[in-house]
Amino acid sequence: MDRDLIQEYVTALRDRLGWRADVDDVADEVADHLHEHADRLVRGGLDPREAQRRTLACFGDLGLVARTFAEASSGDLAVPTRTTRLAGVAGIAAGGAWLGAAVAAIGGGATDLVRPWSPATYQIWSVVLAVATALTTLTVAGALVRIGRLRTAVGRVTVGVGVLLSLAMTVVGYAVTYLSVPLGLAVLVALRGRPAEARAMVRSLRGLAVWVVGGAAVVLFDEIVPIGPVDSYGDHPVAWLVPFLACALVSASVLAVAGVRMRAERAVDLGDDGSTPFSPAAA
Amino acid sequence: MRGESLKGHLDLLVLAVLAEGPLHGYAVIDALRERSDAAFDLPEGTVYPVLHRLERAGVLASDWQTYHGRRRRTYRLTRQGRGVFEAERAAWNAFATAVTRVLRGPQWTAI
Repeated sequence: MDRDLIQEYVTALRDRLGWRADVDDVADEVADHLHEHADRLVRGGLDPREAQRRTLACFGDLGLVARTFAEASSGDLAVPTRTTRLAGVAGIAAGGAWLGAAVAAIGGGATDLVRPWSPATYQIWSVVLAVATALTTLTVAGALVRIGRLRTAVGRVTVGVGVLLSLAMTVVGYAVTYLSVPLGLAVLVALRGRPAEARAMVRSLRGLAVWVVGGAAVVLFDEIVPIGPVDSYGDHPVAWLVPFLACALVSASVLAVAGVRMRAERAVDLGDDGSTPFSPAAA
Repeated sequence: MRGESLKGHLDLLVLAVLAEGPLHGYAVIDALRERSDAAFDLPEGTVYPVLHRLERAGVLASDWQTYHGRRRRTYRLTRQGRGVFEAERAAWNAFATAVTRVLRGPQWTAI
């Protein structure tokens, strides 16, 4: 037998499922199945090459099988695509935007503790916040596509919260630490129990839940146990500037990490057009 | 039977086969075909994602062995899986009985 069709099939399947962390296990399992089937046919008197052809025909077209493997528990595709790679770019940009928001807050956008506050510096800060939140929402949406959950109820709610939050930042940006709490919680719920093969891609985004801690810290240190000086509005600027800066810096790093990871993944071409050399018809 | 018709019931069928004892993927598919008198004729490769999904859900567990120099994965029902199987089987039996009654039509009794 000049060609090992089973080996060729397994190699091609491994190539298409290369985005899975457990691709070696999948390839070994499929190879075991195919050899078991072909061996039985050979023991039944079939020519080895014909046995391999029939075995592959029974196993299914390569494109169909690859697509079935790519389905998440939600029934949606959970693979890296051009969309998720684009979301990776948004993640990196979001990281930069949150750093910018932190700098703008110190530079008079949020407080005059360091530099004088003015309506103009506040407007700049709130626009940067809106951009950062919008980019964060895009990144989270990409991560949800990656794990096949964008079209689930929790996926839609999470993106909806992100969109509303982005709009709200332009009006009530000063409340960013409170406002971001629902987004942090939604991301935590939406990414819960993600598929193992996407774990590394979305793990860091769970860090956005830091806003829950930040919101609680503001309540604690501005309202219950006030710390630091009191400004002309009767607020404690240190009590909410420090939690905001911490949350912005954590968000910047987790979004950048997730963005780099999503960007680095190769977009999958499942090639499910049924025209592969391993389709049952061809075999 | 076409794959589309089977899709919604494959989980239960796989659980039923594995309720008899641990099996590797090929044996699961073989048992499905044999026990259905070849009525369930799916592309075999599409059954593995079902096994993986059920394992992720905690319904199945798997172990790796070596067989003739090849790595072989064997699946078994977990305790939770057995509970899920019993519940799903009871629900299916109730459903099938009701559908059969409807398809049979009204039963007339002599007065």
